[in-house]
Amino acid sequence: MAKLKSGVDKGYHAKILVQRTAKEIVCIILCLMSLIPFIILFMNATRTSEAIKAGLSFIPGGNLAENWKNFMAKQNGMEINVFKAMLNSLIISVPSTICTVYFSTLTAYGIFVYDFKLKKFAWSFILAVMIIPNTIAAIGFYQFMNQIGLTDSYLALIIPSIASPATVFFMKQYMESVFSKELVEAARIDGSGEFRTFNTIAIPLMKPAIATQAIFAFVASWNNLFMPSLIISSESKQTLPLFIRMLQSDQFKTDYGVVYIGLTIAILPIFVVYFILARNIVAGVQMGGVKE
Amino acid sequence: MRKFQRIAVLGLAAAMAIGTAAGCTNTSSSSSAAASSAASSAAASSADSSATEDETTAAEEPTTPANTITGDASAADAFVVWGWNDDIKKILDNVYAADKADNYARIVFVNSGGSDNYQTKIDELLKDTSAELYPDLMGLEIDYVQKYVQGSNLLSMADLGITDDDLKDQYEFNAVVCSKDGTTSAASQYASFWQATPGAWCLRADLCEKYLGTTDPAELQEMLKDWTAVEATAAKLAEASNGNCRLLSGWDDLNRVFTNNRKTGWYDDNDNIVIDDQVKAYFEEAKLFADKNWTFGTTQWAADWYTMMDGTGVEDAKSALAYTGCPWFQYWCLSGSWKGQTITVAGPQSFYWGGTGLAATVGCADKELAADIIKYFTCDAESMEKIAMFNCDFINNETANAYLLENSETIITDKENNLALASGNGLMYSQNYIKVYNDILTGMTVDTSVVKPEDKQINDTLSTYVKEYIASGDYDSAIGNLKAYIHDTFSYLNIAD
Amino acid sequence: MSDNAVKTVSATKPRRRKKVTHEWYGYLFILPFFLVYLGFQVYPLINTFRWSLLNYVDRYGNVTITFNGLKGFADVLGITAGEKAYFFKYLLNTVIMWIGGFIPQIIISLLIAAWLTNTIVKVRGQGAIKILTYMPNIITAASISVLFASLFAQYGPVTALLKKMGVIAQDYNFLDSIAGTRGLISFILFWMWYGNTTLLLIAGMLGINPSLYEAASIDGANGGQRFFRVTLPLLKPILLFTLVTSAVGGLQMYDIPSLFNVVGSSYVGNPADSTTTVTMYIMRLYNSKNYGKASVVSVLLFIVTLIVSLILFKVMGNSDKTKKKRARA
Repeated sequence: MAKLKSGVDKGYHAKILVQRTAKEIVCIILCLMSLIPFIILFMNATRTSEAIKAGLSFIPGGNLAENWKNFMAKQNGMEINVFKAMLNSLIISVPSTICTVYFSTLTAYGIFVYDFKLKKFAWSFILAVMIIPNTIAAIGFYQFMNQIGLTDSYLALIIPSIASPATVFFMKQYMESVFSKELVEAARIDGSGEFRTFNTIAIPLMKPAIATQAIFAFVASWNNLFMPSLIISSESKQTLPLFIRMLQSDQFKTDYGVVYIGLTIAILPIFVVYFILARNIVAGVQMGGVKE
Repeated sequence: MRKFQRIAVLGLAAAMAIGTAAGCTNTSSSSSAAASSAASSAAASSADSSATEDETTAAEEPTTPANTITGDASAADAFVVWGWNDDIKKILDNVYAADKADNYARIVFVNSGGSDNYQTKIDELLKDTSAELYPDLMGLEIDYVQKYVQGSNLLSMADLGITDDDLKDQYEFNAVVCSKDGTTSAASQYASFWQATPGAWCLRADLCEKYLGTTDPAELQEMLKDWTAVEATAAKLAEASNGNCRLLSGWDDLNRVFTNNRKTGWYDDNDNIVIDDQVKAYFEEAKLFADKNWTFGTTQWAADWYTMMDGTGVEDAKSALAYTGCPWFQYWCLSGSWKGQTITVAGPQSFYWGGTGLAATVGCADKELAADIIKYFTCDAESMEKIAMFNCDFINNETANAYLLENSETIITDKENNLALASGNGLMYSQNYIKVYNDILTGMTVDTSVVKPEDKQINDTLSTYVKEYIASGDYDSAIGNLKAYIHDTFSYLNIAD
Repeated sequence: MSDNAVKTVSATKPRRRKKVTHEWYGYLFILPFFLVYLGFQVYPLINTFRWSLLNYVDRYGNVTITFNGLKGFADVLGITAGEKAYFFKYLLNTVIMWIGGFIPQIIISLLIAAWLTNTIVKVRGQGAIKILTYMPNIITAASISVLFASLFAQYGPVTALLKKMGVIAQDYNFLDSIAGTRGLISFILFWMWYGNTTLLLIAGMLGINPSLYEAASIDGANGGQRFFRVTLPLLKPILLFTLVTSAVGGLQMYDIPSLFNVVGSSYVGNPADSTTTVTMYIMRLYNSKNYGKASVVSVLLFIVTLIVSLILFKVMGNSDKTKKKRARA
C-alpha cells in the first residue's frame, strides 16, 4: 500500500516537473522576445552600416564613436538635438504628471468626502467620459488653441492633464479603501481647513496610489506622439517622439548606424529607469487591475 | 513603499540630470540649442563617455557652438535664412563670408533637418512676420517652389530691385519654374535657383568594365540610348552578374526620369486631374523592372539604397550599376566607391532633376541684403563661379559655365587633393564634368511649366501607387487610387471622367 | 487663496459653526477638473462637430470657408458619386490590424496568467517574467516602430536572418507585402500589450476565492474545466475592461503605423495604402489644411468609438445577467 502511494507520488511529481519545465521554457522564450529587439538595437549602434547590413550579430562592434559622430553631424545646424528633445519632453511630462495626480486626487476627494447636490451627476459624468480618447476632438482642440494663442505652446499639452477621468476613477476607488470621512471630521475639530486637511492628511495616505499613477501619467506624456505633432510646430520645441519621427526622414535614415544610435539614446534612459522601478511598476499595474 | 518613493525620486532626478547636463538648463531657445549642441559635440569628442563625464565636459565648455544655427536670432539686425539641410550654409560659410563679411555676420541660418516637414514649419512661421525665426530668405526645392510662388508670401525679383538684366544668364527652364505666370521676367519670377540640374545617369566604371565590357561613355550611352536598349542592358547585366549587380538599386530611381519629363502638369487649367503619358510610361517601366528583378527594390534615399552604391557586385556585396541624378547628386550623394569611377551619360530620354532656389519673403527684414545674397548666389557670374569652384556645383549661369568649361582643367576645386573642376571633385572616370553636363543641358528638351504647387505631396506618394500596380497588375485601379488621393488631399482638384 | 477662503467662512459665520456644512467645498474641489474638462475636451469636441459642417479650402494660403452641411460626411463615406469611401477603407485597415494584435494578446495573456497563478505547478522567476514581458509597454511607441521598421527592412538584420534560415523567400520583402506589413504592425501591438494584459489578468485570477476551485475539484473538474468553468466566467469584468480599452485604443491606432511603412510625411501606410489608419487619415487631412474633412472623420470616429463601447458593455453585461438569472433559477 505504502509502496503504491509513493509510486503515485513520484509519477505525480514527475508530471509536475515536466509541466513546470515546459511552461518555464515558453516563458523564457517570451522574455527573450521582449529583450532581443533591444539587444540588437544596442549592438547595432556600435557597428558600421556595412556590418549591420551583413547580418545579425550579438557581439558589439567598434564603431560606436564613429556612429555617434555621424549622428551628431546629421544634427548640424538644426535647432533640435536628441538631448534637447529629451529636455523638452521632461519640461512637458513633469508638470503634466504633477497636474494629473494632484488634481485627480483633489477631484476624487471632492466627490468622496462631500455630499453635494451634483455629486452623483459629477461621478456619473466622469465614468461616462472615461472611455472617450482625446484624439477625437483633436481638430477642434487645435482650432481652439489657435484662437487663444496656445499653438506651439507647451501649456496646450500640460493644462489638459488636469482633467484625467481615468485617474480620478482610480483615485476614488483607492480612496475608498484607505480613507474615511471620520478623518476629515477629526481634522475639522482640530481646526484644520478643508484644503489643509486634503494636503496634509489625504495626500500622504494616498501616496502609493499617487506614485503608481504618477508613473503611468509620466510615461503617457513622455511617449505621446499625436498631440505634440498637432500642437508643436517650432523645431526647437520638439519632443522626443517627434525627434524619433525625424530619424525616419531622408536626413537620418541614410545610415543604419545613425538610426540605431539615435534610437539607443532615445530609449536607454527610460529603459534604465524602468528596470530600477520595475517591481513597483508591475505591482502598480496589478493594483489597477484589482480595482477595476 | 517608502523605498519606492526614494527610488522614484532618484530615477526622476537622474533623468533630469541627464537632460540638464545636455541642455545646460538654459531654456531660452537659440542659446540653449547652442549650449546643448556644444555639449553634445563635446561629448562626441570623448568617445564612450559615461553620463557623468558628459556632465563635466558640458559644464566646462559651454561656449563654441560648433553644431548650431549660426548667429543670434534675437539680434536687432539678424537676417534669418532657412534651409532643409546645410547646403546653403556651406556656401554662406565658405564662399559668401569671404566676400561679404559684414553681411555674413548678420545671417542666422536655420536647418530644418530634412525636407519632409520643412513646409509645415515654414508655413507656421510665415503667419507671423514678427516671429524671431521668421524667414527673411528661404531655400525652396523644385517640388514646392510653385506653392510659394503662387501664394502671397514672397517678393518678386523686381520687388527686390533685381532686374531682367541681372537674370539674363539664367537657364530658361530654371526661370520658368520660379515664375508666377509662366513668363520669364524679374516681375514674374519669385524665386531664383543657383544650380542647373540636367538629369543624367551615373554609372560605376569598374562594374561597367566587369559586366558590360566597356568604360567608353559613348558605347555606354548607346546601351542606354532608348528604353529597349535600357531593358536589354538591364537583362544582360542581371544575367552576367547572377543577379548580384543590377542596373538600378530600385525602380523608383526611374521616377524623375519620367515625371520630370512630363508635357502636362498634374492638373489642367480647369483644375481637372491629368495623368501625363510619361506617368503611365513610368508605371509600365517600373513594373517591368520589378517583375524582371532588374533592381533590388530599394526605396530612394533609404539606407539600403545607399548601401547598394558600395558593393562589388559579387555574392553578398550586391551593387547597383547606375543611379539617376544630376550634378549636385554626384557630389552630394555618391559614395566613396564612385571616386574616379563615375561615368555620366544622358540615358534614354532627357529630364531635369531640380535644384535649390532662394526666395525672399514679404516680411523680409532687409530687402537689400536679400537681393545681395540672391544676386551673389544666382545672378552674378563671378560669384557663381566661386560657388562652383568651392563645391563642384553646376551653376545656373550660362556665362559662368562657358568660362568654367574653358578653364575647367586648370581650376582646382579640391586643393587638398589637387583635383581639377573637370574631374568633378575627383569623381569622374574619364569625362570632363563640366563638359558632360553642358552637353546634356544643351540637348535638354523639358518643359518646366508643368511644375505645380502640389508636386511635393503627389510625387512623395507616387511610389505607393506604382507599388500597387506592380503587385496587382491593375493599372486603372492604381491610377484611380492615385487620382482619389490627389483629390482627397487637394479638394479643389477634381477627378474628371 | 484657499486658506483665505476658509478663514472668511469661519469669520463671518462663527455662531453657526457647528451647523455649518462643508459640503459645498465639494464643488470647489472638483471645479478645476470640470473647468479644464469643459474647456479643453468638451468645447473642442463641440468645435469639431461645428467644423465638420464647414468646407475649408486653403489654396497656397488663400483660405475660403463655406458651409458644407453633411456633404463632408457623404464624401468620406463614399455616398457622394465619384468619392472614395476612405473612412471605411481606413477603418477596415485599423480593425484588421487591431484584431491581428488582440487575439494572440488575449490568448497568450490568459495562458501566462493561468500558469503564473497556478499553485500546484509553480513556475519559477515570476518576477522576472512579469517585468520583462511588461517592459515593451513603457518604451516610446514611436521608437519601437522605427526600430522594428529597420529590423524588418528589406535588407534589415532580422529579414536577413529569416532568409538565411529559409523561413522566407530570398526576394521576400515584409514592407512590400500587405500581409507582411499588417502582420508586423499587429505583432508589435501584441508584443507591446500582452504583458500589460497578463498583469491585469493575474490580478483578477488572484482575486478569485480559492474555495471555488476546491469545490470544483471536489466535483471532479480537471484543470481545463476549472479554467473554463470557474476562472473565465469570474474574469469577465476584467476581460471586458481589457477588450473595451483595447478596442477603443485600437481605433485610435497612430504611433506605430504612422512611422512604420510610410514615405516621408505623407501619412499613407504602404503597401497600397493598406496600413493607413483612421487617425493617420485625420492627420493627413490636417496637414493638408483640410480642417473640415478632418473634423468629419473625427466625428465619425467618435461615433464608432461610442457604438463599439456601448455594444461591448451591453453584450457582456447582458450575458452576465442571463447567467445570474439562470444561476438563481
